[in-house]
Amino acid sequence: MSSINILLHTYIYRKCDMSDEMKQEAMELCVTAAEKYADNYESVSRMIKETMDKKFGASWHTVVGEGYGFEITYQLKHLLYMYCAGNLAICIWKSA
Amino acid sequence: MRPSVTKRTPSKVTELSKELPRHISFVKSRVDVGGGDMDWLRGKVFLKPEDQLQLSEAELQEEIARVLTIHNTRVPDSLVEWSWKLKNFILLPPPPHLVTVLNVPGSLLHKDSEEAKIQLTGGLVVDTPFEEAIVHDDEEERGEEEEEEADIEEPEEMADHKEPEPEPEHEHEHEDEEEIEKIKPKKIPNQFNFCERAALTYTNPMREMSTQTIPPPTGIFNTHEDFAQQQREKEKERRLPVLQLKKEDVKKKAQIESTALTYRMLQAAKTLERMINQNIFDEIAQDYRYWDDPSDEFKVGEGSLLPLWKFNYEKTKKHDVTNLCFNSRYYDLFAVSYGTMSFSNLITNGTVCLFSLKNPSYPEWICPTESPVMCLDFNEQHPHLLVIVLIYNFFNDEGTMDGAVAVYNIMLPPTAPQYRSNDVVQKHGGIVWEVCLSQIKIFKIHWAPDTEEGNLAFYSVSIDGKINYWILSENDLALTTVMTLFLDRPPIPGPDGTMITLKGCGTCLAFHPANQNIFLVGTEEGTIYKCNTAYSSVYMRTYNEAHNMPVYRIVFNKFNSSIFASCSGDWRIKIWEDDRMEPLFMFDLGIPIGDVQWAPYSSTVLACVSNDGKVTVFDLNINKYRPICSQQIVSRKKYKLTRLAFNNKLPFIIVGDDNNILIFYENRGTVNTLKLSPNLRLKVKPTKKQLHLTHRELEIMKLERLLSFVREPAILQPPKDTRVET
Repeated sequence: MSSINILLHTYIYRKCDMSDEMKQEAMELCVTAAEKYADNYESVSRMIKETMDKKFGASWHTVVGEGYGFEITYQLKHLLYMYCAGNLAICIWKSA
Repeated sequence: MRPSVTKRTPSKVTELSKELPRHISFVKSRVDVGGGDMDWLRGKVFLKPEDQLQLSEAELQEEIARVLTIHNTRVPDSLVEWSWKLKNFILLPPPPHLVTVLNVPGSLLHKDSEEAKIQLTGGLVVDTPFEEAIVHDDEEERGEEEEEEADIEEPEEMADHKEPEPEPEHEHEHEDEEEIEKIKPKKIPNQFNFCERAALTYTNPMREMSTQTIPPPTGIFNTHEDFAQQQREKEKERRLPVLQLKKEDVKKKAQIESTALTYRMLQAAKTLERMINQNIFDEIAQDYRYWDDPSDEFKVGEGSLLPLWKFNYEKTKKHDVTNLCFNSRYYDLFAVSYGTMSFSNLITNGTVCLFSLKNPSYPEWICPTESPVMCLDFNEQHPHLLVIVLIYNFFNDEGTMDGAVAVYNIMLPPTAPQYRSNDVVQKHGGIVWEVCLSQIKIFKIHWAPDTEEGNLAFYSVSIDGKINYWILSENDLALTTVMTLFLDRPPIPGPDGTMITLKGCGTCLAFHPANQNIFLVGTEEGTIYKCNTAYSSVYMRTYNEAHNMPVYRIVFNKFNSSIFASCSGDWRIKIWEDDRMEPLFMFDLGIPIGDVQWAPYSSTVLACVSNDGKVTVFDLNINKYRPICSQQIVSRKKYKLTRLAFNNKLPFIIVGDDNNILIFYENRGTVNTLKLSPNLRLKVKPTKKQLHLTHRELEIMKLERLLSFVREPAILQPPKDTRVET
C-alpha cells in the first residue's frame, strides 16, 4: 500500500468528473496497471478496461499512450484523464 | 327362386358366375349342341354330376331356341297395395330398374360445357344441375320428364336467339356477358390452386410495440486544445535552433546557388568548347569517321595507320602514360593514367584523366593524385567506376615503394576516391618487403564479376608476387590474397640464418574470358603461370621460360578463349594455345614490346607497340610471318610507346608514349589516336554456304582453320629474323 501511495504522488490528473470513490479506485488502478506493464500499453489498457468493467459495469474504454489527441462522448460522471509516470497519458471513460 | 331365375334369365352373367355347377352344365349343354363340330375334344372325359339327367340321343339332338327379352324377370310385375280410399287393392307401378348403391358427384367439368362457361364468366354455379342429376338418377320417369322440359326450354332459348330484333336489350346483355368473358378469362379453380375457405385458419395480425428509456446523460471531452498546445510548444522549441542556424543557412544557400550557377556555366562552356574543337579539328573529325586510305586497294597484305588527334594535358607533360582504358559504355571516352614506368624517375605525383574524342584539347575529368598512378581499369557493368592503382610513399624512409588501390566514381568530382585501401594494413607489401628493400608496384588489375551479395570486386597483381582479391563493401575495401607466386626454386639463405622462398614478381594478369576462375599471370622472370582462384597454392600449369625477360602483357583472344598472346621485353610476341607448352606463333621484332592487344573485330589481328615508337599490326590470316603494318608513330630518339588500346566500336587505336632515354623531354605523356586503314581491318567474307553464320562464328572458323596449319608440328621453326623497314 505504501508503494502505491508513493506512486500516487507521481500522477497528475488533468480532468476527472467521477465520484470520489470511483475516482480513487480508478486512479489506483491506472497507476498499478501502468506500473505492472511498464513496456506494454496494450496490456495496461486491457487491464484497466477489464477491471473497470467488472467493478462499475460494462463498456469502459481506455486509451493509453504518449502524444495523442482525441474527442470522445462519455457518460457523465464517468471520465478520467490523467498523466502517469511522466508523459504516459491514460484516458478512461464509460460509454454504453 | 334362384334356379328358376337362372333358367329363365341366362343372360345375367353375374348370377351365373356365382352358380358355377349350373353354369358348367349349361356350358355342357351348349357344347352338346354343337357336338358334331367338336372332334378335337375326343378322348376327354367330362366330369358329370351323378344326378345328371340321362338324355337319349334324340333328346340331345333336339334344338332348343333361346330368346333374349328386355323383360326383367326379377322385377315383381304385379305389386299391389291396399288402398283405404278405394277399399281395394290397387296395382302399383313397377319399381325402377336402376338401384343406386353409391352416388359421388364429381367436380370435374368439361370446358365446353354450359356450367364451365358460367364459371368462366364468374357466375355462381347453381346446384340445381346436380340435384337434377340425382333426381334423374333416382327417378327415371321424373328425370325423363325434366329432360323433356329442358328439351322444351332449349328450343325456347333457341327461339330467343333466333329473334334478336324484338328484344335488343337482352341481346345487349348477352353481349356484355361475352365481353366480360373475353376480358376476364378466369382460371378455373382446381384442387391445386383452390383452397376451401372452411379449411383455412386465421392469420394473426402483427402489431408493433416499443419503448425507449432515456439515455444516461453524456458529455463530450476532447484534448485537441491540449494537443495543439503541445504542438505549439514543440514548434517553439524547434524554431529556436532554426533561428540560430539561419545565418549559416543563408550562407550555404548562397553557396549552393553559386555552385549551381557555376555548374550551369560550366555546362555551357563545355558545349562551347566542344563546338570550337569541332571546328578546329574538322578535317580530323571527318577523317576519323569517313576517310579510308584509297591506296589500300592496290597494296595487297599491307595497311597503314592514319594519325588523328593527339591528347595531352599540360600538367602531365612530364609523366608517362602508364595505362589506357576505354569505357565500356561510351565508346568515345577513355581513361589515361599518368605516372612513371621507371623507378629512377623523380616524379612524385600522378594524374588520371578522362578524355573524350569530342574534345581533344582538354580532359573531361581530371583527378590529380599524390603519387604516380600505375594502372587503371573501368568496371564493365558499372562504367562509372574506375579503379586506380597508386604507387604510394615513393621512396619512403626505407627506400621502398608501396602500392595501394583506390576506386573512384567518375560521376562525382574527383576530390576523393570512393574507396581506398587502408594504408597500414592493406597496402601491398609489408614488413617482409621493407626488409628486403624491394619495390612493389601493382601492374595489372582486373575487375571481377560482382560477388553474390552484389558487391563489386576486382583482382590485382603486384611485384611482391601476390594476387589480391578486393571486395568493395559499403564503406571499405576488403582484401583477400588469392595466391602468392612462389618460384620453383629451393629457398635461399637469408640474413640471420633464415631461409627465404623466392617469389615471382607478377607483372601482368589476364582472366580467362569464359571461366572467371582461371587466370594467367606473367612475371618479371618471364614465366607464365596458369592459376585458378580456387587453389591458392598450386599452379594449374607453368609455362617455364615462356620469355626470357619480364612479360609485359598477356591477352586472351576475343573470339577463341583458348588462344592468348603474350609480349615481353625479350623482343618477342608469342601466341599460345591452352594446354600446349610450345607457342603456336612467335614474332621477334628486335625491340622490347610494351603492349600487345587482339583486335576486337577480327580473330587474327593483333597490334603491338614497341619501344622504338612503332605500332606493328599482324594479321595471321594474311601473313603468318610478317606484320602487315609497321609504322613509326613518334620519334624513336625521343619517345617510346608504352600502351595500346583498341576501340571496341570504331577502327582506331590509341597509343600512349613515354620518353625513351633518360633525357627528359618536356612534351611527353601524349596519347595518339590512330585510324586503321581498310587492309588492317579485313573481315571474313562469308561464302555462299556460310551466309547464315554470324560474324563471330566466321571469325572463329577462320582462326580454327589457321590454327590447324600450325598445330601439327611439335616444334615450330621460328621464322627468320627480319628487320621490317617502313
